[in-house]
Amino acid sequence: MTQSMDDKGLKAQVENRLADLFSDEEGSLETMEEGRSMDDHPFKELKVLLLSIEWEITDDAMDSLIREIKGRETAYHDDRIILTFLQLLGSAAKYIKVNKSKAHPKATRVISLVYTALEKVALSEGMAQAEKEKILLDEVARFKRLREEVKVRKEEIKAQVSSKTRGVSVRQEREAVVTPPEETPAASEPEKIRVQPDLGRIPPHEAFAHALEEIKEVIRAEFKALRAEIRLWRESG
Amino acid sequence: MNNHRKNEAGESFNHVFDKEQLIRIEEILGQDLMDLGVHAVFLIDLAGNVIASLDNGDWQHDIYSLAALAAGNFGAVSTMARLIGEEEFSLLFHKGKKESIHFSKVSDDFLLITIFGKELSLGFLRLKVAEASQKVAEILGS
Amino acid sequence: MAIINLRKKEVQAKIVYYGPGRGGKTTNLDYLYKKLRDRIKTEMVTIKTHGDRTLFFDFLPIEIGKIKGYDIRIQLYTVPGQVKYDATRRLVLRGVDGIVFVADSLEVRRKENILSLKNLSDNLAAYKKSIFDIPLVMQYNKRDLSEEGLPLIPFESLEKDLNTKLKAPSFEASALKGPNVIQTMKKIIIMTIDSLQRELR
Repeated sequence: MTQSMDDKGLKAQVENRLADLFSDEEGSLETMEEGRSMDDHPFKELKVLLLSIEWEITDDAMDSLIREIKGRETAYHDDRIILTFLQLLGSAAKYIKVNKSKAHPKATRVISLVYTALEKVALSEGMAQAEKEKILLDEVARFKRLREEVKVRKEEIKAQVSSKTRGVSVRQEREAVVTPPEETPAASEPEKIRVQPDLGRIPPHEAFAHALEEIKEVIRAEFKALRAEIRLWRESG
Repeated sequence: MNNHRKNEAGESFNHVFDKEQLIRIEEILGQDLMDLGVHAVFLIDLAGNVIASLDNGDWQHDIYSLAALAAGNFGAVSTMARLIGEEEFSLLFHKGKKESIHFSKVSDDFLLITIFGKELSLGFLRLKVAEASQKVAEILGS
Repeated sequence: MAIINLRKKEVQAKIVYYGPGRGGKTTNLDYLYKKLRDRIKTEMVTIKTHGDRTLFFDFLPIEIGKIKGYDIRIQLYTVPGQVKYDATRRLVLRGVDGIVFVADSLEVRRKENILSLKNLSDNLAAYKKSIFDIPLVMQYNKRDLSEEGLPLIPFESLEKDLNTKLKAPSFEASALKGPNVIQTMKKIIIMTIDSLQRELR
């Protein structure tokens, strides 16, 4: 009698043990699917390039990054939200490439955070449009804050250049002098802001559309300024 | 002013650093690195002695022990590099949850140790450190 | 390679305690740390194995105060004594300004003392330094073990084995109990600073 009970007990133990051992396998289909989605990660190359510049910033790495961003912009040209994210990244990347060690220290952090938001929006299935817009708006605001700080910093350097008699490199001077092209579109921005309704009171998607327009302007201005800087930089040899 | 004496074999003897050199070095480290928000920066020799040190005011740690350990660490890693057939490693960096530490060689006899937090990306810091190291090397060579 | 800072008016020098494994190098520093920590601000750093053997080095910085207007900062190091850590010993010897050779007085360790001294000479040569040109003090440690009836190498034999050519100042000591530990340290510091002055002239 004891033996049969033992047998039953043993069998139960073995069943339990097997259940424990192989319960993970039930999730295997899911993990397989996850694996597939990792391969299909839409921004895999972009992520790799961004991770590499976290460790080391070289001209080649920045060129590759800018090229990849452009490529993704083409692929996502009809997705307003993703496209805007990519444009933010592209603008920041070009800024870092041109300015290198003179870039604002926060620039690389901003790129990293904007990408994280992009990835979240791109990979979350079934995320509501409104939520995507909100996340983008947050990153747009972050980008604008950086842009402000860059502006302030340039003014400070300009002021230092004029008051200091020694110790400032020629390159710094040139960068400070390059500010003007950026200021022209900025002059038109106050107009836009005056016309803009109170973003807090209008429907979210309208607010989003307004913000998008604004950031498009900003990015256009950025590119213009950057092109001017690149030209000057090239000319200086 | 030749204050870096070497014997016939080219081995370094004692180093004398005058006020002018040290002031200029501190200026560079202050402007190029401390102003970025770096927490602390030390210029040390490979024997573990401290030549210059700056911190952001919140620094409570023993820089002399840190210098000794940093020199030992760098020395050990350099020896490993040679053992595996490398002339040297291009990066020695330790990442912490809140503080990270980066080592950079400045000419043959000195090291620049930078301690920084999450606000700075390593890639950007390396650009700045390379620049600062170059400037400091020029002062040390003079 | 001492560092002289004319701005801070500070001199930094490195002294390394060398010798065979388990000879008492770390014990020297332990004793000095115990004695000094109440009087001056100092922290001892050790990098040890699980078995309490020195793995990389021990480090004890000592500020001995102002001399001729300069703050003198002495960094005391020990090396790991086990034979397999030779590469590490060489590393720690980098930039050394003065050396204390801690010999093990136990009769059974006679050969190890001689081999360790030769090893020191070889490692110094790797830095184009000669053991004859660097400030050096001999410490014949563990003299207290004679009280326990263990056979010790007589002082004269130690001198003959290790000090015939070097003719360095030598001390019989017990790092565990204390005799001559501080005297050894004082002697090497004085010799090191003295040699620095000569270098600078």
